[in-house]
Amino acid sequence: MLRSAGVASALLLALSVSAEDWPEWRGAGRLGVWNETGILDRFPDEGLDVKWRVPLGGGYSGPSVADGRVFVLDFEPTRRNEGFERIVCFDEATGEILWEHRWETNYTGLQLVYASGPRATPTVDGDRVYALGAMGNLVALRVADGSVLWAKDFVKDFGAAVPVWGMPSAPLVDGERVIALAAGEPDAKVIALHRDTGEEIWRALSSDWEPGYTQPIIFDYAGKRQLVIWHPRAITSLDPGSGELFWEQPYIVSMGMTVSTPIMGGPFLFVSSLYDGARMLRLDETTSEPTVVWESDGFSEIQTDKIHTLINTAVIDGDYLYGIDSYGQIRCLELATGRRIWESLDVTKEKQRWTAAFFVRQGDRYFINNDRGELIIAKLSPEGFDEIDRTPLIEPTSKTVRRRELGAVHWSHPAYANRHIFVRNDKEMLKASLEGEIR
Amino acid sequence: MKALVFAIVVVSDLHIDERFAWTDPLVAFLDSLDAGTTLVLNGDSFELDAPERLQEILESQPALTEAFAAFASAANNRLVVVPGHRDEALTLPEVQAVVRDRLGGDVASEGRFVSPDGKILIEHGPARDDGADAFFASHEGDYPLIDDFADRLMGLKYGLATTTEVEASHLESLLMTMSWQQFRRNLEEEVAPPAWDLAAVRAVGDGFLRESLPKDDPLYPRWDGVGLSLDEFTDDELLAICDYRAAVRRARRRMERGISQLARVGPVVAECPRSEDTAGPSFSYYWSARDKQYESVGDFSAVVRGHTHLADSGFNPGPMEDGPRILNAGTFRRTMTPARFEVLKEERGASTEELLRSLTDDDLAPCHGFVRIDAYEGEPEPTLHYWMQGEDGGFTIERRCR
Repeated sequence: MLRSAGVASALLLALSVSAEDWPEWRGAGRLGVWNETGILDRFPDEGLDVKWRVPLGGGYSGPSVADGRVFVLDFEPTRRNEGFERIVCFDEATGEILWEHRWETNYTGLQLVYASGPRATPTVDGDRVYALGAMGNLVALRVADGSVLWAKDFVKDFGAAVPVWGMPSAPLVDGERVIALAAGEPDAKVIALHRDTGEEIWRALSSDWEPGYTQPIIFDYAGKRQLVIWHPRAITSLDPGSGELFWEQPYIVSMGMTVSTPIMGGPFLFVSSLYDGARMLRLDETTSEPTVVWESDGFSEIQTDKIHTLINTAVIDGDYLYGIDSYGQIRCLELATGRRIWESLDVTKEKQRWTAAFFVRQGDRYFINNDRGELIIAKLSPEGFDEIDRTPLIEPTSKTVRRRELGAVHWSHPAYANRHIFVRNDKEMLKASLEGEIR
Repeated sequence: MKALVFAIVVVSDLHIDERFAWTDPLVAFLDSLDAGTTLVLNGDSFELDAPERLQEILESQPALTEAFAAFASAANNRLVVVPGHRDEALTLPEVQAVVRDRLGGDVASEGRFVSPDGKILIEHGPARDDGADAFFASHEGDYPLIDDFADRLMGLKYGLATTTEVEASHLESLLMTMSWQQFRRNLEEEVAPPAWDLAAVRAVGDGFLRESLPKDDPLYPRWDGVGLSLDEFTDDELLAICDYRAAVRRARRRMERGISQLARVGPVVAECPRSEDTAGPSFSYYWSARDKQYESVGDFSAVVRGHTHLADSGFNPGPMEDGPRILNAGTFRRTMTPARFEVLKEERGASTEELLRSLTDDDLAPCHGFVRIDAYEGEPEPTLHYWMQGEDGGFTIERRCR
């Protein structure tokens, strides 16, 4: 009888609970949406149930999770700014290292306070994984054993000038193409390489201005698959197959600081930066040509009117947009007008420049990890920020040039996969259960 | 207990002489300061080409002299005058006696002001004989506001664009136009920039000089007519030009505000050829320069400078998390920016020369820059402000010059 009940429970669980990998930056499609069910409603009183912890070197690179493996990049310094970048493959169940691949690098030329390690999340595509180091080393590896399929050095192969905060853009796999923000001179800001061989398929956009720090993303809209590249002079839509320009909306962003990932909600396409603020576009339903719906007034990251996000990517939920402003304030804006509905410091708890938190939608609520190393479950609505629960997640270890209450920040995006969270800092990576009752 | 009990206000680059046009705003500003303020005049406050000039200038400016003295005599107020390069004579005891007797102030004889808690450094900033002063002196008759640009060397650039008097020394001055290079100049030989391939540079020929400027630089169209030859430049000067090209390229590629002094978006310039062993990002010297600069001021929480006339709300050069924040107070004088100058040229259909001749005080932005550091308990928070005159003639304090 007991055995039958167990089988029935297992069957019920299998039918009711969907498991999901997290194969790239912000999860499948880069949308920041976690679709699994069977996730806890509140955190355990005693804190998260940590399944394993493994030592790790420095870096901001978030982990990716696919087919029972966890991939992440780190940096091991040797002398001064030199050292080895590494992609490590762990067993998802145990945290055991399955393989690793290292390459030599030198961070001189980066702003050194932030030169702790790689930035980009590795991208898993079936039996391959693509990883990008902070100085533009792109490597394609076999998932099975970490053997190298091909490698590119954006500096040597494309004449790239590495921006001062390094190369953060996770490779984007689209069919046979691996698309990357390469910053190549003179006209290879964006490149598409063959996934099998690394041979160049196309290149696009001038490098007379910096590449920025955003993530390439593909949206399906108006019958077109559109590769959106937000760089410091424009929001650009390219044909991912050919690199040809669909449309371009000029938008000058200071200091090359296009960091957050473009998001779409219906016809609305949104980007936001620290100094120059936000811009909301509406794409024509037929031609996809953009028009500016609203944008930030003025030019101040201190007295902001709508929203000036830096490394936080905002979310669109219904008729509203939520994001973290320049000094850590979560704001709710009316999507169609940019009108501010409310703001609060409840997410970050600290009004300080560049304070950050990262949102992932999970059903009708959000999992938010802030840069104090906390994990939050909350609901966002025009009525306000409704915190359900909060728990310590991981120690903030990254240096920043601003004075922070905890002396350091945590600026790495976690992976949410198979009802667990995988998160790293500059010392370790951990896997913790977020499994709950079936909802 | 507060680390700083009273506020500090920093005013830079007044350039007071008999023709000083900003007496009324400055007197009103002095009257507005709270009791218990330390006012620091941060260099180039007076046009002292001779020690005895201070006495003469003060006698010609009785309202201003009285206002300074009244400020300094108020309870808990303090007036400190930091020498700059145009008023270097303030380092002389007899000139310091005039400051003390007529204004009630002290001269920071070390050439800089450090707050009692050691957290704030106020200095005029590195300055040198850059050829601009001589050019301004010889052209102020024709171009009355040529010394009122922000950055000050943009006045030189526009002036040179109207003449054939471009000399190597002028070009060298223009290589140091950008405000951040003011701190880079502190670095002397300690910085290891990329090794520029000067043989390859000289092989380019005279066109190299013109192509060192972005194509929208006001001097660019005049370069061919100037007839400058590469042979007139030493290797050191060419190295400086190569550093400048790298800096302009970087500023343009990043569309940085207030650095290139030209429009944020525009043509880039190419780097000089590098030696093979300094290729790649490891030799992009900019951050090395900042880190070195940090080492020289790293014990302070805030550093306020002047000299360039270009206000800068501040940056932290890193690499440590606890500051310092480096600001430039700009100048209390009203200034002309290149962006505004180009707008006026367009509106009036005037050439550069015509506009330089016809500019009046009313054409200058109605903003008088200063830095304020309020009393604090933890760390100082210096902020850039503007004493702004509205259309009704009244003054308000604003965070931005509109």
